[in-house]
Amino acid sequence: MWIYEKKLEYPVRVGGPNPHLAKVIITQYGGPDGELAASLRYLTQRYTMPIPQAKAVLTDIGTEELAHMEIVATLVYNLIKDAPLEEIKRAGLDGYYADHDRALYFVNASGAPWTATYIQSKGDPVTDLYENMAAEQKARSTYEYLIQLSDDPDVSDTLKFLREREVVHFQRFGETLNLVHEYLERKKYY
Amino acid sequence: MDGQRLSLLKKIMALEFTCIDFNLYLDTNPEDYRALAEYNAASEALLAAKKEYENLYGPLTNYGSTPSPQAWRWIDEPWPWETTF
Amino acid sequence: MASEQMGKSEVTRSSGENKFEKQSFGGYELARAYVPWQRYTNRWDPMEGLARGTIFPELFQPYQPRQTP
Repeated sequence: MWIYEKKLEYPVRVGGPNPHLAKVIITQYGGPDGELAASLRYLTQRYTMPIPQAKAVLTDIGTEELAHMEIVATLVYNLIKDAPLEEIKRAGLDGYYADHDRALYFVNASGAPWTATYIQSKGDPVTDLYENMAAEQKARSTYEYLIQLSDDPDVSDTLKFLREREVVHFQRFGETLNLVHEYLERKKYY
Repeated sequence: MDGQRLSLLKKIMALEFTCIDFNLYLDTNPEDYRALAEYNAASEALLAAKKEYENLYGPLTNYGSTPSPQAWRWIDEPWPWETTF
Repeated sequence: MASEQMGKSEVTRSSGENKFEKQSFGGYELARAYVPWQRYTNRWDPMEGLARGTIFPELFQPYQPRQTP
């Protein structure tokens, strides 16, 4: 069950309208290594995890990723909302504007729509955890590329926060992998 | 959002973030009683700060977590993506 | 059939018998990954932690972009 808390996890600031930046940042909203993919991946894998620590980790990190999705949406929303139409066109967002105006939609940086093929829920808990560790690394790398592309220091602060969270999540999934391996070893003998 | 409200909100965000990071740590390290004590202390401080905020500005969480006396303030703006920090 | 395999701590030789000793590299198994356990030591204050993205200094790994010419 989810309830909603009416605050962001992190205080997001934006220097000013910047559709060029919004166009790339949106990939962490609806792209392959973005926060929607992360949250759905973990929230759907959790049902078949064999140990309570894993069920908790996947639920809790999956929930935090929803909060990150909200942060990315906040960035994109604020980077686009007051941008003049000329800037939006110059940024190559006229196609997006035609379909969505200034609304948020789940696409990657090139405009390709989100797909469930971005995630896997393989059932084997070891396999799923390696998928998750890889996902956290891909997300970290993506934030690094976005930090390189960013010309707005306030936006970069938020990107750095989100990047560091991926490092922490990787550590947690690694520990969960250790626990699952120990559990499977014990099951062999008892 | 005025300065006092913003300051209280940032305090809540910082305390809740502390709880989040300890929460994740405890999920894989549940026997770490030092960490558990930190989580509980931060949680207590968080609940007190939230209560203070909600008394002044209305509910932070929906579906019954906090009452909304006198008026239905849950719908009030700003919503999180509209807040200027 | 003789086969030679070298591990860090043992040498296995099998000559025609069905004897296979498990490879061990200091207790670690092959074909799997291990992440070292974090053991909570110290923490930042709430505001500092929020700014850094973690409450645990030992998990803080800031982005250091490579210098490109």
